[in-house]
Order: sequence, then structure tokens, then C-alpha cells
Amino acid sequence: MAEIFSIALAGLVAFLFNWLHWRLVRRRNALNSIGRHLDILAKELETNAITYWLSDFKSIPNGQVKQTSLEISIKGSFIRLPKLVTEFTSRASYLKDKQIEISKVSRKSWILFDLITGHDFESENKGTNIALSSTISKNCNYLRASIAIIIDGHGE
Amino acid sequence: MKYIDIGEDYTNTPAGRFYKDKNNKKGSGEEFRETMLLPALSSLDTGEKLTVIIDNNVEGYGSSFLSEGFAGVVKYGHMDSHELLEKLIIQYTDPDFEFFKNRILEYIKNSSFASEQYQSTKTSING
Repeated sequence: MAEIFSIALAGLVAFLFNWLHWRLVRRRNALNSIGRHLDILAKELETNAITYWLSDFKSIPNGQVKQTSLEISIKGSFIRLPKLVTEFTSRASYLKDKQIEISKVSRKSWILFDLITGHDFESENKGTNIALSSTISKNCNYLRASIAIIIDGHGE
Repeated sequence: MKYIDIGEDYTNTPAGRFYKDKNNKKGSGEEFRETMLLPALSSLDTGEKLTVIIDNNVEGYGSSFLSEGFAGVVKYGHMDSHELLEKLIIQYTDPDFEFFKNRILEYIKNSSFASEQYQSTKTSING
């Protein structure tokens, strides 16, 4: 009787460990996946925003179309970015040792919105702005670094 | 309670900060503030609130439009941020627009009362 009980208990414990292990794996994979999407979006946003703020659209052929196209794309990114940031930070919230980096992800997304779509964004008389482009690039890279820090080694 | 539905009552393509940014075409934050928001705020009775619907038939916003359109009320001295936040309700049903609501509220909170004197950029273009 005792042997049967021991075997049953061992089986239950093995099952629980297995269940917990796969639960952690699924959670880690989901966080990694959203983190990768977020990283790609931050890179895409950096490329579009820098192109936008370094271009003098008045001096290039079809400049107005190119400017409007980038504006639409950038505004679209700011529908996706907060959505992904909310999901990412929510899923990462169990990482107690990464709370500072998690809060940086949210803060950087607000900063990027203000930087990229502020100033004379969507102005038909927009000039170029090298300093702003540089600040945007720096903040995109801060965001990507925070994402990498959160993803790297989490759950280990 | 009074309402402004940006997508229905103003434009479904809000864009740019000033009239001059759009070469006086419809849609800038300055125009929204001057022709929609300020008249609606002025018409409120005591204790009445203004609801601004931000997500109906609108794809998104830039910071230039939002900061000029909403925080401009404080910046140009029409009312302080506390009073504006008391009177204003930002409404949306699409959860993607929560981000824009939060940005609007923060721009208003961070805006300095009467820190600039308003000069219409529409006048400067025409004049």
C-alpha cells in the first residue's frame, strides 16, 4: 500500500514539475515573441523617423507623396507600439529583477511619440532636423536595449 | 454635457500643429483649438463638462496636433490646466486610443499657463 502511494506521489510530483516547466517555457516564448516584434518595430520606426526628419521633401521629386507616406507609416507605428508595449510590459511584470527596465520601455515609447510626431511633424513646410534625428535614434536604441535586457536570461 | 466628435465634427485626418503647417487646409491642432475646442469650452454652463470623442473614424494622431490642440488652451492663457482637466472628458471606445488620451492629459498637465501669446498663423499667411 505504501509503495503504491509512493509511486502515485512520485508520479504526481513529476507531473507537477513537468506542468510548471512547460508553463514557464510557454510564458518565456510568448514574452520573447512580443519582444522580438517590439524590437523590429523600434528599428522600423527609427528608420522611418530618421528618413522623415533628415529629408527636405520640397527639394525632391514626388516629395509631398513621400512625406505623406512616411507620416502615415509613422502614425500607424504609434498604434502598434503602445499595444505591443502594453502587452510586453504586462507579460514581463513577473520578472521582479527587471522592473526598472520594464518601466523604461513604457517611458521610452511616450518619449518617442513626443519626439517623432512633435515639432513641425505633418507640416508642409517642414525643414530637416539633424539634432532631432540623432535624439530619436538614441532613444530607439535605448528602447531596444531595454527590450534585450528584459528578454536576455529571463526566467533562468 | 456637450460633445465634440473629432472624426465627425472636425476632420477624420487631424494633422499638423498650425494653420500654416497645412497651408491653411483643414486639420491642424491650432484650427481645432480655435474653431472647435475653445468655442465649446466657452459655451459650457457652470459645472457642465465637454466630452471629446477621439477615436470615431480617426486613424491616429501626432503629438504636434494633440499638444497644440489641447495644451494650447493652457499655454495661451484661456484657462489653467486644472480648470481644463475639470471640464474635459476624453472619450474613446477603441482601446488603442488610450495611449492618445494619456498623452493629451499629460500635455495639458505639463503646460504652463499663459506662457505664450497667441498669434494666429492663419492671419500671418493671409496677411
